[in-house]
Amino acid sequence: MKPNNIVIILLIAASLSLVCGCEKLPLGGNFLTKAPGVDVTIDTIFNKMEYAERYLTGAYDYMRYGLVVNGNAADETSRAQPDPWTAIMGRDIMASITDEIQSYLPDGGAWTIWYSGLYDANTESRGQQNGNYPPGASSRYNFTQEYSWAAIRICYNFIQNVDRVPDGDAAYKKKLKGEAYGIIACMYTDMFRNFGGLPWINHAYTITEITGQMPRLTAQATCDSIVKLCDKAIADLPFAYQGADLVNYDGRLTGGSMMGLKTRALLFNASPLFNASAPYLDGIGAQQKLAWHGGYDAERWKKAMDAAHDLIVKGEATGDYKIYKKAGNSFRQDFQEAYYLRGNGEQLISTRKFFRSPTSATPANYIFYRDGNSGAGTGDITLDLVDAYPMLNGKPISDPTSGYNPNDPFLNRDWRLKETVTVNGDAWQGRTAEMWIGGRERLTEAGKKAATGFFLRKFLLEANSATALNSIICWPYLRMAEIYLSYAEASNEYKGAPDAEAYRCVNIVRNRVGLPDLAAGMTKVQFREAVITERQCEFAIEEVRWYDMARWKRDTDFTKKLRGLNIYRSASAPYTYNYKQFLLPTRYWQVNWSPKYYLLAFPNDEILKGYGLIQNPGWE
Amino acid sequence: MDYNLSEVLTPIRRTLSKLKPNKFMQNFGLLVPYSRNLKKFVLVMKLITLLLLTSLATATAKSSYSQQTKFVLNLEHVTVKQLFDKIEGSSEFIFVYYDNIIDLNQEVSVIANNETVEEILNKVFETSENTFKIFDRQIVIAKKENSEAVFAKYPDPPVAKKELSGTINDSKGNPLPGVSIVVKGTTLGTVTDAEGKFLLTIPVDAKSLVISFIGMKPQEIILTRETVINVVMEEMNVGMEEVVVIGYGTQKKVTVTGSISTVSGDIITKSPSQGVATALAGRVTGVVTTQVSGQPGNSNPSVYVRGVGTYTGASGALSLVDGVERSFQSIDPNEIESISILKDASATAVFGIRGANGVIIVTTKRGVEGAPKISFSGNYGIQVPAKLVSTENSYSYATTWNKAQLYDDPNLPVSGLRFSPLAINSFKTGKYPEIFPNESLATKIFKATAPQNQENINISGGSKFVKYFISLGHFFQDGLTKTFGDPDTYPFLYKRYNFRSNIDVDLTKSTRISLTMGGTNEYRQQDQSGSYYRSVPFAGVVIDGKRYRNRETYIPGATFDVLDNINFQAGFVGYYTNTNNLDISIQQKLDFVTKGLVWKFKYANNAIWTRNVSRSKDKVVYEPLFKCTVDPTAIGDSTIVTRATGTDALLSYGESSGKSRNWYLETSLRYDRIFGDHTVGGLLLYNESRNPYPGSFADIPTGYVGMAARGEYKYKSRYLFDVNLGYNGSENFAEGKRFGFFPSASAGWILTEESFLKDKSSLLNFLKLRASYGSVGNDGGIGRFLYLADTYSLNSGRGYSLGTTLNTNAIIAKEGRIGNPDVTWEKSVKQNYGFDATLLQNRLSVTMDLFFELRSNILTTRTTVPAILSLAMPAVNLGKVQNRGFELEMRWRDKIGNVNYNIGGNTSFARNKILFMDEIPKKETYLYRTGQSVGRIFGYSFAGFWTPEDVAHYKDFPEAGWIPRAGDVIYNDLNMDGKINDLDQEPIGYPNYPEIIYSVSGGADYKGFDMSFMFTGVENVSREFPLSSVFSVPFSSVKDAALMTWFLDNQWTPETAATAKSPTISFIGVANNNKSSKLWTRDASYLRLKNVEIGYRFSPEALKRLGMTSMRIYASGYNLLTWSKLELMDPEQVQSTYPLVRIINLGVNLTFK
Repeated sequence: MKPNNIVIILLIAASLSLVCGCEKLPLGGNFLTKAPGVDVTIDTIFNKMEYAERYLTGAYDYMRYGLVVNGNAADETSRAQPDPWTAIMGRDIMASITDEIQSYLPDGGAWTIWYSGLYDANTESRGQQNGNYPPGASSRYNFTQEYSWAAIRICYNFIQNVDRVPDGDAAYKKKLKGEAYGIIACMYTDMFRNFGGLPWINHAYTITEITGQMPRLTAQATCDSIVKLCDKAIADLPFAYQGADLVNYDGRLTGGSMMGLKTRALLFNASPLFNASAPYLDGIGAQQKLAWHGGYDAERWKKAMDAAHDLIVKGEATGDYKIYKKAGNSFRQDFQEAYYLRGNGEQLISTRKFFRSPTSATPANYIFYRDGNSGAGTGDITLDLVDAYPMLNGKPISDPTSGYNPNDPFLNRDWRLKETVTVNGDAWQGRTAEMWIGGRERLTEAGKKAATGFFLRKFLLEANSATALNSIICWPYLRMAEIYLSYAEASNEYKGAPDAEAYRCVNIVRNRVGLPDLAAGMTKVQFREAVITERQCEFAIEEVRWYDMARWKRDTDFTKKLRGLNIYRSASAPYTYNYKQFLLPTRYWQVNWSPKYYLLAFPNDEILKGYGLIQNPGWE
Repeated sequence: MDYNLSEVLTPIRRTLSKLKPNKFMQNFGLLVPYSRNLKKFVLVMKLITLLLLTSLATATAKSSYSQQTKFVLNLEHVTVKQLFDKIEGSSEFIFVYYDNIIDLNQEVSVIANNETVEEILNKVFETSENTFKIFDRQIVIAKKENSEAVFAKYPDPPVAKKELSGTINDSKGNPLPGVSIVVKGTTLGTVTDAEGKFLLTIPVDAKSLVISFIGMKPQEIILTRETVINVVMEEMNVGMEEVVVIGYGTQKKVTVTGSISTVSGDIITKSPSQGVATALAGRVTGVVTTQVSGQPGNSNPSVYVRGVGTYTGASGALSLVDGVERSFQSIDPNEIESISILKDASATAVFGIRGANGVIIVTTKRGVEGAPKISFSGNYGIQVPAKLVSTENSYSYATTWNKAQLYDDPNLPVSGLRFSPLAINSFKTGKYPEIFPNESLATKIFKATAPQNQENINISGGSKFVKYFISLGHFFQDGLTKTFGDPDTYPFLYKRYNFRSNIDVDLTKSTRISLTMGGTNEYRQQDQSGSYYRSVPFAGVVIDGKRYRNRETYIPGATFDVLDNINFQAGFVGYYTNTNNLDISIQQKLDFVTKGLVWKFKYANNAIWTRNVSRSKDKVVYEPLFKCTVDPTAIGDSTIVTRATGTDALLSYGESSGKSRNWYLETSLRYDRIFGDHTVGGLLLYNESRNPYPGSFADIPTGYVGMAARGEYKYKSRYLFDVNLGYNGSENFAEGKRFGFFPSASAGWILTEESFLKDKSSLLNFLKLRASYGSVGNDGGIGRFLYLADTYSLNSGRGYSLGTTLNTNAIIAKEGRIGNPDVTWEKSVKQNYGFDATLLQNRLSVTMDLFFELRSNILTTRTTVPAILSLAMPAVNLGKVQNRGFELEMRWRDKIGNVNYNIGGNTSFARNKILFMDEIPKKETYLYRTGQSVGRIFGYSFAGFWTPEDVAHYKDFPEAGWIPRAGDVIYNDLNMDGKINDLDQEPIGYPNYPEIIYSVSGGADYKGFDMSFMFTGVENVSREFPLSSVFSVPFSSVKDAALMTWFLDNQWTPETAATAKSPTISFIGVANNNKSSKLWTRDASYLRLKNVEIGYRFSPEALKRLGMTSMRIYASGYNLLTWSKLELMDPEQVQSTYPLVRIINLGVNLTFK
């Protein structure tokens, strides 16, 4: 070796140590050792009560929320439980497929699959393939995109593991478990009302358990299982929260919540859709009693009645759950606060998704239809809903003695009308609403903003920062008013006529908004109709109407031609208004009605996976 | 006295002793340019070959020289010595004798007339005591008494032979070692030594020699009496002499056995477009580029090598610059020496886990020994939009809209129409242009032309010890958007400075230190939105620099203004990017350990800083209003007044910055040596790389470890064998599963080196068959740490508002994807079969490749699990895709008179097929993605348009959920269930990347003039017509976009029923008519005249006075012509609304020495 070479090698060695020596440079496999990072596993979650609660909160986040939620699925695909987003109605709202609202959102679910008649088991599938909107989840309650099953998994996972959390006392853990059972019951109740009998999941599955059949329970067994879950939760939960607890815990499920939910499930179970001598539509789903009970049994009504009454009695006794009223409030304000205010004792279950009202281009904007004259066009209320509201004297506007003036139609109406619908001439953002063609709310007849002559007010209030904007709106998932009206309905059906208690339960709801008592001496049918109309007015846009129409198989409400109202203002002051009804666009099922629409189709993909799902009648 | 034969044969012995093989072996190393090195390398065969050939010659040549050589002598009274000298002087005979056996001074007289030497000597020795015997050219003299014994000492009668010597040089005067010299028609021959010299003994009757060398034109030399033959060989000029860059090394192109395409830097500089990848289009086989935009600084195409082979992993090629993973898109083309595209497993196996999608290696220029050479190139070009999407002006937009409304509802009153008669009329007459501007988008925002320019100056040269290449480049590209002369409206633009300094220092004869520095400094400026067609033509207008903007007072929906989209008067976004790449390498020859061994160490550091500047401002916008609107007293006054909104504000300033760094370390041992006919080579390499700031799991750096090995063996430059091995690991997989082994083998056979073909025919000059087989991996696009146990996140989503306080959110923790400890990379098994040939005196060259790939282990999530379990299924390596295709390249080069010309073309085909992807069972077989190409478009089967007759009994047609009108789209009910729904979607068209690419190119030069051209095209590619959401439907689905002229020109009307390509424009029909279907899946194949160049090179004599060695001026064009069936827009443009550009360019190249 030449001396030269030795020098060179020394030089190289020196430079190598300069390059690598400053940090200890591991080689080979050692180089690939993963740098320490925080790997959060199930053990992390259930090592601390704070984390365990966060996990359970994730299940709350999947509870049904009826308004459009700003969200994006793209970053959620790798999670077992993605963030809930615009899964329902393709950024539309469910009221758009009842007689409450006519939607004009062209790429929303109402137009793309419901009005067009394209809805079927395939459109339910599509949601699972598309990660982003417009989602195939244009359904009103997609079997998978609504993430009910994700919430159920969270809850069982929580129930199975919460006992090993070192901090937190047993009583608190028991309460949280009760909430978890409650959430499962909520998920099953929502699905029960949309699908009938369901496969029953009773624990959090692991990856090695994915085999075999998971068939649907019968509709009755599903309802029974829900009731059992509710009872289990009621046993674990406080009936209600008060004081400081209410401030912190409002929105969590309580014993009262679960008693209310039980009523809702039992009422649906007792309704003619399933509880009838004949199935609403023949099919294997009906034959196997998945979408029909196989016969009528009045006892089902009794169970619903009793469940409702238990809650009414206990609520009135404790004062924790009641029909909300506040001294000094106007009727209108009482109604608003009843559906809007948190912790008001009226809301048995309320959901509060991260929802902030409109900034210019968020999906949330779609319901707010505010984007100029050509705005997206959801939330346009039908004249049919408007007409359902009686006069302040309690008489329907169809009653010639009601005092209804077609040339001044909004005068002396049920206060709930103006609190639900922005009508011409009502106070609006510090002025009056100009719903006439050419007015500021309806610049042209063709514009989609207020295309029916009305738009939604409920939840939006004045649509300004002081109220709806920049706060998280709570969704009145289940209100005490519904329990009163459900009692009245069930009692009327079970007993064959309305008794005093049934009347009392309806009137307490009516009186809150200043309406007089219902006329005495109604027949069973008259009383049933009165209750359903009361529910329509009280719970407009609260996702009650669809289920009422479905469980009572109210085909005429589905097929009737819906109407809008064109309002014309006179050319010069003093202004007069001319009102002209017009027909809204025809929906497919208005001319091609089939009872199959009462229940949803299971997504084709889920059926084709072959684990035993049987399709609902009409969707095979 | 005794003697022996060895002394008699000394001339040959001397030659042998001169051939010291060590002499050239000593010089071996990588310090001299590799090509020459390899040429020397071949020389090792010489000694053995020479010996072998000599013995063959002895055995086969016939002794006839003595019979053939006749003398005419008239010698009187001369000595025997004089006679012998005379004979030796006039012939090749040599007299062999000892002085003491013959009296040389004896006088003789010889008169011979055409007599052989034998006849003459017989007469001379008739009476003497001596006798003789002829052994070929040697005449042995002995005493008669013991002649038998003397002659018996000679083995066999020697053959008549003749000795040739000479030197073989190339055209530059450099000696060529290893050149084969063969006597035509025999196997006699030799090869040249390190100095290009040869010595060959041949039969005296040999007629001619064939001199050949790989990469050179073979020559036939007619033998004369000359015994010294000096030959200058000409290069074949078909690229055969090239050295190609392969993974971690180089190989001589002729002996490459893998599938590798190369492009030289000169070719890249021919393209005046911004990016290097754009310039690759059509130049090589197997590379698909799709340029989606012409936006300055943002037009880099996607690059696929041999198409797409996976459906979840990344499918782009790995790109390296000077052997280190880097992007090459922003490199100055003048810095590029060559680009290699490694395609098959043998070429990419050394990259192991990252090699499956092909590898693109860019190599930058380095200095060579010589005086400093200064090169300058300058270009100035004009960009012109290649094709602007034609959109309707306000008048046409408004009338079409109203018509569509009336089509949907014939009873609609005028008041229900969106555009009032006033608006329509004003658009038409141009009255009230502030309120009713009648414009169309393309001309409103795009200029007809925009300039660009590029300059580069570089200096290269070097001494024996230091070699350098230093380059400085600048590129500027102006944008095509208008600025209306407004100071606060910023144009699109792109600026780039490139520098490079590549220095090689030979510290000693065996040590080289190299420093490779490259950097770019880029600035890109653009608007804040970029979607120009999502705007209506009547929303705003600029008149005399004043911005008018409608606020829907007179036109509903006049909100989406393209002036907002280009940030009119409102600022810009600027992106600064600084990239610095630095490599240091040390290379040490270890000949003192064993000859041919070299050790190399390399450290590379890449640093990228980005800074984004966002500036915006509010400026007064004027809403034009009729006076009567604002002033109730001015009834009917249509004077235009303006209402100003907003205030002129200062330009706001926001910035963000980012950093990115990674380092790479490599150490290797190489071994190259020749043992006779056996050439062996080897490589052992270890590398590591780390990126401390990765995109995901930002706190955990990414790391790779790689080991690579290569073994090369060549026998007689004829039989070639390579083995390439990669052993790679990534931190992304579970411990114990991190390393993968990727072997490949390839072989080549140069048939034309075989004696039965070699120089036998002028038809086939070179033919090499190649085959390779091996496996490579792909870990691109696989999420990080999928192996970790089921992960949860402690803070996920937006929270949930518990409690009675508004605006508070409880934090949510969520379960993540279930872990899969077995997760691993995609595995690809590739086969490649090909040949390279030159024919017809090397005028025609042909290369063809056939490949098969099976990609398995594609990460797939099981979709067949019941959704009710709500398990986020782990990624499992389940998927399979096969990919097959071929590549063909041909070129013809020749000259006619003084015109050199070449013409050729290439084509590549690649088609893949999904073999497995865990699909949910489908009701119809045509619904399966399995069996189709990756990314194949699915859609409805278009069956035409509803005619009025069809509509009349629409109930007889499959149920589509609505009542159709004439001019709406009919679809086929594929499953015949009486319904048009998702089950009626079949695979339609091709994927959006082409299956076939082809190009035809050529060039010619005559004296100083030269020209070249290239056409490129693609076939088997589809685009879904809704190229982006704004194009999907007339006015777009949310009715805020421009109306494309195409919809108007092609819509169905009763008159155009036969030729209509598009449904009648309506709003109700949109949901039905615009479903993805064959109607909207368009053939996006095209043929382009991609490049044309005409240049003139001034004669060196004229330039001498200017001190220049060369000067060339040229004009070129880029994207000049396009033929496409996609009439709507440029066929490559997909999502971006910034048009592709064609460029007319003028340039000059200067060299000084």
